[in-house]
This record gives sequence, structure tokens and C-alpha cells, in this order.
Amino acid sequence: MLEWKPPLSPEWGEWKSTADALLTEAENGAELGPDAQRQLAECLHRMASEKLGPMQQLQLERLARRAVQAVPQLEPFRFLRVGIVSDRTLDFLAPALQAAGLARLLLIEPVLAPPGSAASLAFGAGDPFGGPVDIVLYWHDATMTHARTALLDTQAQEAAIHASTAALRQTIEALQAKGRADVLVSTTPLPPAQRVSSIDAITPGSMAAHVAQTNAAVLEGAAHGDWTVIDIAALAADVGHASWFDPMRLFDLKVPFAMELNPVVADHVARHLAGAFGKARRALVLDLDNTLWGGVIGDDGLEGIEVGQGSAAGEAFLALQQLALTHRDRGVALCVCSKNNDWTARQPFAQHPDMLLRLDDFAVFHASWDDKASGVRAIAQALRLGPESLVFMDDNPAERARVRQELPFVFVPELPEQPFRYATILAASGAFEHGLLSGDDLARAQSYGSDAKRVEMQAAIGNYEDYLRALRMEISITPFDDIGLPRIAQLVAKSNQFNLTTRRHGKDELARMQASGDVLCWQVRLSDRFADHGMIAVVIVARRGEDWVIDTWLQSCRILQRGVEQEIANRLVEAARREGARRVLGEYIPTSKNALVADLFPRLGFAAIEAPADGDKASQWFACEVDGFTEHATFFGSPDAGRPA
Amino acid sequence: MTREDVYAKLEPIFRELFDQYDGPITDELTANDVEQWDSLGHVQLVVALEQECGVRCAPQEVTGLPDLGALVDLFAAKTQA
Repeated sequence: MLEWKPPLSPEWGEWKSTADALLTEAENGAELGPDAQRQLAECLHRMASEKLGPMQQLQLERLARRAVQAVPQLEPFRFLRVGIVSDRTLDFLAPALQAAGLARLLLIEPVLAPPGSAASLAFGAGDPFGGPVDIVLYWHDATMTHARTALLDTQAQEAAIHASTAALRQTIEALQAKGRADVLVSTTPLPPAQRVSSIDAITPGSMAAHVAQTNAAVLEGAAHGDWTVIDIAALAADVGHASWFDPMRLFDLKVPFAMELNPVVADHVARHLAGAFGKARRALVLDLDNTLWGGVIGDDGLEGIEVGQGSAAGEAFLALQQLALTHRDRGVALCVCSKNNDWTARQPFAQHPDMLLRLDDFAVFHASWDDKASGVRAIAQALRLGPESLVFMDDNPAERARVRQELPFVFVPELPEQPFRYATILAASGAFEHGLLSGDDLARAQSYGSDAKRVEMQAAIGNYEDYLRALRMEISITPFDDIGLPRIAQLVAKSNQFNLTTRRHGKDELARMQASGDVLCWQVRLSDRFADHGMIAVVIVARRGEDWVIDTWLQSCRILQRGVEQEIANRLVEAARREGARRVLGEYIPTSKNALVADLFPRLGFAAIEAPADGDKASQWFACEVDGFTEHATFFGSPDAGRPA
Repeated sequence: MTREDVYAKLEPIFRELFDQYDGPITDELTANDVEQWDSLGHVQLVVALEQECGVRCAPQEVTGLPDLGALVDLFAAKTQA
């Protein structure tokens, strides 16, 4: 159980003393400084991430309880108030859940609903949680809703399951209303004592059939987004029913699983909460030699490494690659962190016929002789993610220890010497737990990839102009059109930072400007070799005879430092000249959010001037003489494509 | 295990679970003396002690015990076998 957790460190006691001392300070009313908060968060997370004995478990539970009380907003943890409703007794889970939360970056305040059936709580008067909760865990036990019907009476059984699942649905909906929150509903494992033959599941009146059909209904509701599911039946199967069920405690205390499994169940719940509240991991950083293949590519060469069918170890490495791809498909960014020459490290991906993973699958490929902690840190920066979003897998215990020491919030699963369980351990850790997938999730891995490759190139290419050229950017500047108008209106309504005047023209007004001959209206799109950025700028200019006045100029902040503003200035001055204007006037209206562009006009070669006669005196005004303008160097390909007439 | 061995296991558990109690831990101690020692606390205490001592107790063995000394006697006897 909890196989991914490393054994207790010798420092565990020190962490405990440090956390204890800092919590005591906080409990005595002291405001913890940023360093102290960081230290406390690190100690709590380190302690919770290791394999605990019963005594450490108790100690951690107490520290967790104190932390939730004293420092509920401690970064990088997420505070969650979790309502707990159960058909059985779950009181014992609450402290373990607090402890487990610390390993999953959560500070959990469990709120146990008063004893009573879930239905009576759901439909009774009053608020069982004494205030708002972030989510409700409903531990449903389908063995308690089995209506006895004649064993072979299919019709009666169908009617019974229809009635019990309808009642379940009503209870869940009432809990949603009570908690004003999403409900996490459990599936039910079938107790061995309730199954007497291999065909129980297809015997209509049996408990096995009832449990299976109830579980199917719970899963189906979750698939429709009516609630969220936590598959406790699957967890019980992973643990093994022989260990999961403890009839003595069930009959004595109504505890639905063996109490020794409290930390395991608590972690499983915490993992779901992490997934639901944005604390699941987002990137998988993989070592290469003896993690993704057997052997050392630098020593053994392409022919010497072990991967693929035909050897047990080769298949084990393949299984991990397969799992990595599964994660990638669900939006997890894959990265390499290897101590190797870059070319050597890439070779198997490019040339080995049995490798499943290919270079294209990775968002960041970091092969160097730096130590692994620096490598992982560089990867986090390239992905623009914090260390708490990363999982680092390495067969080498020294490298794991190094990364754990330097980057305590990176999740570093413990791995045995042999590769056979690597995929099992990663999957069981639930590091990448997620709810219902959306198209955005699937697109995410792709976008990490293109962003990260750019950062890598920037690091590799010292000269920024070379970098911009290598991006092979294409810009398209065209008049407004009906297709672009919704996105234009959205940008005008929302852009704050790169927005010179923050004028919120409505869609109708924008359409009117588009139709007017006196207003130049440009929409700007950008793409490069890695991604199509879509519409990234809007420019609106009033043609007033010899003076052109920039009414609106906004850009997306995702594409700063690309020369887009320089290119727009070039085109604008060129258009003004062509149409016989003498000056282009720029207006900057400072807001609390647009300091980014306070010096935009001077940077583009505009000079400060007094406000024009009909201009707002409160704005800052700038002018560019068309004749004196020097074109800015830019690096866009096919500069003539899409040039406005 | 001797009664002293059981106490050595029990005391740290007791202190973690019932952290608001800082009086002496003796044979005469009863649940009435320790506010956090409620029915849930009692089961947590027993389960943690079972795990530490590697034995299991039946429900009827651990309910209705007069004081802490009786619990220690029970575990001392169980670990003899």
C-alpha cells in the first residue's frame, strides 16, 4: 500500500519539531513571516509524503489538525472544507484525511454530518455542515439499499433497482442543495460474504447484481456531470477484499473497511479532492537510462539498451512508456531530465524501433550534465509551472533524494531497483487524478509543448534576433470583418494590460466603425512554427485629415517581445503616408493595469506633445511625423501576405 | 510484554490522541478524567495500540473496562500468548 511513498527519513523527527515550534508560534498569535511559512509548509509536506508507522501517523494527524486551525491559508496548500456524509461510520477517516491532505497539497477541514442516514440528513431540516463547504463526500453503501426480491424475478429486481437508484439520485441532489457544492459519491465493493457463486452477478435477486447495478448508476450520473464519483470499489479491489473488509469492525462500529487502511483510504479521497481543486500534478519529468529503457545509452549504445518485447525488463520499460503516453493524451506534459549529451539522449527516441515514446511527445527535453535538481527547476520554468505541479521519476535513489531535498514540493515516487512495477506505482500514486475531461485538457499538452520548446530555443540561441527569425512568425493584418467581430469585441471588452486607451466599444459600435470610411479598423493575427496564436491585436484609428488619431490599440500579452507592435507601427505609418496624412497621433490613458505600455509610443519613435484641441487633456499625447519615421526592424515571414489594401 | 512495555507503547499514543490532557498517565486514569477520551477516542487508542503491539482485541474485551490499568492488563496478557 502507498508503494510510491519513500521510507521514513532520519530527518522526520526534526521536521516534526520544526513544524511543532512554528505552529505553536502561530497558535500564540504570531504572524509567521514568508520564510517561516515556507519552512512550515515544506516540513508538513515532507512528513506527509513518507511511509508512516502508526505512531508517525498519529503525530502527523495532530499536526495537520493544528495546521488547518492555525494557518489555513498556508501556500502552496489549498484550504478545503469537506462535508462528510456516510451511511456507515466515517468518523475515523476525518483525522487521517487531514494528514493525507498534506501530501496532496491540501489543508482539509473535515465536517462530519451528524449521525443518521444520508437521506435523513439530506431531506431533514437544518444544515448538516454548519456553513458552506467546498465539496461533500457521500460514502454510499449499496449493500444497505438491497430490497429482497425473489431470486429469479427479473421484473421485480428491475423495479427494485429503479426505485433504489432513484432514491439515491434524490439524496445526492438534496445533498448538493444542502451543501451548495458538488457531491463526491462512492461506489461500493461487494463483501465476499455476500457472494456465494460465480454467477451471482447475473442472478437477478442477488446482492452482487444489486451492487453492480447501483455502481453502474453512480458512474453514469458522474458521466453526465450530475455529480463526481470516487471509485471505492476499484480501490478495494486494488487493496484486495480479504484485507479491505473487516467484519468485526463493521459489526461493532459500522466502519466500512479495515481501520488499518485509514491512511490508504484517506489518501485516495485526498487524491480526488486534489484532482477536483487544481492540485493534481501537470507534468511528468522522466529520467532515461534504467527508467525509460534498460542500460545506459551513452555506454551501451542503441543496440545495447533493453526496451520492447522479448525481455521481461524491456516490456516493463515499454509499459511505463505506454502509461506516459496515456497521461500525455489526457493533457499531462511529458519532459525528459537526463544526465547525458543531448544528441546521445535523443538517439533512442529518433532511431530505436521498439521505443513507444518519440521526441515529439515531449514538451521539454533537458539533457545535460547539470545536477537533476537544477534540471527539474529549469523544466518547471520552461513549462511556467511551479515545482508543485511536477512528478519526477528516476530509478537512481541518489537523484531522487537530491530532488526531494532541493525541491520538496516536486512529487518523487519511490521506485524499486527492478523496473517491473514502475508503471503500476506511477498509476497507483494518482498523481495526475482528474475529473471529466474536456477538449481544453487534451489541448493543454500540445500548448505546453509549443511554449516550452520556444523557451528552450531561446536559451540555446543567444541572439534574440536569430531566435525571432527561427520562430518563422507570420503576421496577418486585415480590416475588421464579420467573422472576426466577436473575437474583436471580446478583446476590446477584456484587455487590460497592453491597452493604450482601454475604451470598451460595444459590438454594435465596432460594427459601425467597420462600416465607416473614416475609421481604420485592423485585426491582427499571428502564427509561428509552434502554434497559431489567432487574433492577438486590435487597432482602431480615426482618420482626421492630416492627423490620424489612434483611438484603440490593444494586444495580447502572450506575444510580447515578438516585434508585433513595431510591425503595427510600421504598417500604420506606411498607410498614413500612402493616404496623404502628415502625422499619426497616439493617446495613452493610464489605468491601474496598463503601465506595461506607458512608454510604448516613445519606444516606437513617437514624441510627446500637448493634447490636441479636441483631445482629452488628462491623457498623455504623442505624435509621429510620417516623413521623419524610421521603420523598425521586424522578423515576420511573407510580409506581403495579408497586407491591408 | 510486561505492563511497563505496554505503557511504553501506550504513553506516546495517548499523548498524541489526547493532546489537551497533560496530567500523569496512571492505572487509575479513567475516561472521565480526559475530555478527548470519548468513544471514538477509545477506539482510536485501542486500534493504535493493537497496531503497535501486533495483537487484536474483540469488541467485548475492550468495552466496559474500569480504567486504564485494565486496558494495560489486557494488552500485557494478550502479548504473552
